[in-house]
Amino acid sequence: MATTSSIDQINLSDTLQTAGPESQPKQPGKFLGALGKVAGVATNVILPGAGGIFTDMLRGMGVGGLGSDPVQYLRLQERIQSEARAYEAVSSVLKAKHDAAMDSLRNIAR
Amino acid sequence: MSVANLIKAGMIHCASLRFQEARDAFLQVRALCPGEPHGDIGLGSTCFAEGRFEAAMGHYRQALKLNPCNAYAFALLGESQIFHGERSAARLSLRRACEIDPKGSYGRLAQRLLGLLECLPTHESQVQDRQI
Repeated sequence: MATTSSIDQINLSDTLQTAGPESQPKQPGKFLGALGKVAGVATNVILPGAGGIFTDMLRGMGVGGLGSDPVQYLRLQERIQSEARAYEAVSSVLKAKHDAAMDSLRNIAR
Repeated sequence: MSVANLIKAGMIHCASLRFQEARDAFLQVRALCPGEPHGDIGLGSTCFAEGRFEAAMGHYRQALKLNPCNAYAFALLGESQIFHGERSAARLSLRRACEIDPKGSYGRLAQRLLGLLECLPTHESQVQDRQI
């Protein structure tokens, strides 16, 4: 919808804390590497051939690059939460705008 | 075609990005009901969808001249002011919409927009807040 594209013009990404240089992804630790392999093997048992996809998906999400530093997980969690809040705010505005437009039409039709 | 159907047609054209057709429909609405704010509200919504926020604000102000207690026009004016960077003015318009229609859909829209305004970064509001 056109309104959505207008709303996109507000740079919501600015509300999100961009990760500083200190939060550059580290190389995956041994534990996560092993975990990825185990997840891949386990998925291959349930859905043959899908294990590789699952492992790639974890890498794509950046989970593989987080290392074992819990602070990085907390930063990622904060970022995801603030992103979710921003999306929720925009979505509730769009719904309220639709309801208001429908109400206005109903009032005119009366 | 009735006024309600013309407004519906304008809204559909606007949502389908056929802005000229939407404008034509809302101009007809304005010609049919010159004393009512519906035509200007529709024209304002079309300008907003095109990204022409100043023009949208002009239409909403015209609608408010015709009906100074129109909560919908206040809410939409506040929305355009947010996008134009006039955050203090937007806050005033949205609060006025909440006062006029505290429990209705227009007041709810204004409340949600005020919530969105709070989500935006504060440093940007200081830089972008334009002189009114």
